Amino acid sequence: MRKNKILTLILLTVLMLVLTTGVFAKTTVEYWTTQTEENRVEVINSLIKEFETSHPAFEIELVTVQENDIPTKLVAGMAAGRLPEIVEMGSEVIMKMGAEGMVASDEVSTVINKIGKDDFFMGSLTMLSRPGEGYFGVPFHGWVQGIWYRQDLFEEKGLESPTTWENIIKAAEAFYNPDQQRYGIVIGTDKDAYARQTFTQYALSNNARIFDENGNIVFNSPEMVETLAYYSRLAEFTPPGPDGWRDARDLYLAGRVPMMMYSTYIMDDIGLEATGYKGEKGSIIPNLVDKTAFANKMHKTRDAIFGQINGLTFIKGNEETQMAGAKMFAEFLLTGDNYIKFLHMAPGGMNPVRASIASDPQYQNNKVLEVWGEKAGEIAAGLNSIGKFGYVGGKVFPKIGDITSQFIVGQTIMKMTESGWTAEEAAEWGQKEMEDAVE
Amino acid sequence: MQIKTDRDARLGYWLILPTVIAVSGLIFYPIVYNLWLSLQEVNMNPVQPNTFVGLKHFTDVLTDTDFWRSFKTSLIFTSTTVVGTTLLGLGTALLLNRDFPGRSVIRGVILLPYVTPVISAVFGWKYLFDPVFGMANYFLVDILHLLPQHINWIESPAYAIYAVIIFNIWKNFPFAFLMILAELQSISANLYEAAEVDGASIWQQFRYITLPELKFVIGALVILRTIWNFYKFSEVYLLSSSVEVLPVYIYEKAFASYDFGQAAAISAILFVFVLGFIMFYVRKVLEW
Repeated sequence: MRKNKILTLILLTVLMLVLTTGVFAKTTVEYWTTQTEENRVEVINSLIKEFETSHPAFEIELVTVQENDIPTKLVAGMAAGRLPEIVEMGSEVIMKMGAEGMVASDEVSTVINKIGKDDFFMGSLTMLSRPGEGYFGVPFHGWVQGIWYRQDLFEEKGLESPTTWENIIKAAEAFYNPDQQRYGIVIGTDKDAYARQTFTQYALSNNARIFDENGNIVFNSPEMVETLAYYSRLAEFTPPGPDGWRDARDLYLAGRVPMMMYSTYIMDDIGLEATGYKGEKGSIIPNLVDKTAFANKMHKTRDAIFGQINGLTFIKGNEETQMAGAKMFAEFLLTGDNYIKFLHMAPGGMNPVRASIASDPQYQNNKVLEVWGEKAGEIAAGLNSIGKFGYVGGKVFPKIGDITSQFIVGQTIMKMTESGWTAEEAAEWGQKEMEDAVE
Repeated sequence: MQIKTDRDARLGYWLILPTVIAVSGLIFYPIVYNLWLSLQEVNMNPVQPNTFVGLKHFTDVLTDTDFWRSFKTSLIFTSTTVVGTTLLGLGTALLLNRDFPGRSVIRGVILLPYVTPVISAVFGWKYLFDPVFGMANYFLVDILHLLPQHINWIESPAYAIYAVIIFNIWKNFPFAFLMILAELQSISANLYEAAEVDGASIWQQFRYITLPELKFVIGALVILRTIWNFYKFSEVYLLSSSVEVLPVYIYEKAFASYDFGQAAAISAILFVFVLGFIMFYVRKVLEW
């Protein structure tokens, strides 16, 4: 008898477990993001919790991916036939996925229209538009790149702000003192995304392009060769290379370089002095915010601003219920308080792509943004006019994704800075590699 | 060979079946799949089919100068690290085989590099060799004035290979040390006593007693380390992406150029190369 009772009890428990999981079965939506920093993941997780409370039928599974690892993860996911429903990534990656036919672009347009197409900055929509019509991604947030420099030191030496090629190299040379481990500038000289990002601005300011309007690769054009030559001369005033973004940030905060190229994400580090980084004699440069200025426009033959738009996009081939959840989650993230909470993860770094949010007092009400004051507004305004290699004369060339994933621009730069090639040789090499890559 | 079919034998087959399935699933299937991939132009979109291209990838790879440059880097990396780890392990083992106070503590401490997770060791080394703040540059340039200027040891393609080799030797010599020490302890003290009575010098004792006794363990260490280091990815790539050994080259072919077919072809070529080396080594050097 006793045995029977126990058995019944066990069976009942099992039955209950099975039934309850059946009732509360949730649709899982996988979400990939390039926000890997711990405090940002915390914010995203709390947003996910809110979403799950208000949409009990769905469960969001968060996967964080390092920016430089995206190509690897995507390929592995594709090969395994197991891709997420919704991803948040840079526009190049989204364009590449779009070109591969992986993006559900109708769903993207639905979300854009539902939020209100007119509320998005035009510049951000262009970055994610699909050749022909429609969009490959919903614009989410963006950053602007430029030269961050020490206004106080520039004034001391009577130097002009680094907005033109001439001024930049003149200042770099003036500050270069390797015996004291003081360097002129940090620009990207490694095989990574940072090198392409910093180089792009020089190239665009000299009207040097990777694609011409017909989509041919023109990396060996005279303008590009001139830019490469200039860039490698400028690299002589950098710390012993190759250098990456970490060098730029650390050395600037430690007062070892008076100039470096970085995105708006540095505003957080400078504004809060929150890196915990100990500069010389145990203290970080005091009041770095007041001493720092930002030159986001560069000029040679024309003005160039470089930046990045991150977008949200949906992957084809997932179940309809999952897709519905992904769409709801995208809208949730881009709306009101949720959106502001998201952007405040990296105040100044992440800029809104919706006009109504940019002017929302609640968005502007943030310590770091207040510290930067009017500068913050000017910086965000740059977002509307950023230029990139993949976009020429209103046309979009998603093939740029194949070139960026192999870091060919960075490798070309390294040929000059590390192996001593001339700009012409490096340009020819890059041209050939790029032609192979887009084949 | 005759295949047995009686009842006992049949039971035997059933009993080894799980092993056969496990081995084929885990070893033969990936090998065959890799060979099959190496004959295809692999389409990244799983919905679209692959194209059969025959031996094209193999001819492409064997005529590619980048491949041969990586091959050379791999040979340099493997040979120097194998010699380095073995010699350093041997030397340390001989020293720590003597009796002295605190010996067991030192033996334990020696193992630390081997048991430290790669990623933490890598970050430590990156700071050690940092171009601006690193201790290595501080000593070599600012204190000893051996070099004219700071060098980016870890990232610069010209120097990174040295950093990676030194790091690998440092990280892996404890394994050689451990194996050799175990073997040293099993050598009978009588042999040395007899040799001393016969008037053999320390060097002669090492040459005619210790080395022959260690021959097989050193032989095994060399072949294991060769196989491991020829395919070493993590310790190289995590420390410096500037050192293009073959595994890194394959990785970039597959995950940056999306050329899975060619990456598979390179793997197949390496497989044949390493297999050939092992067969030769086992027969001629180990004389098994």
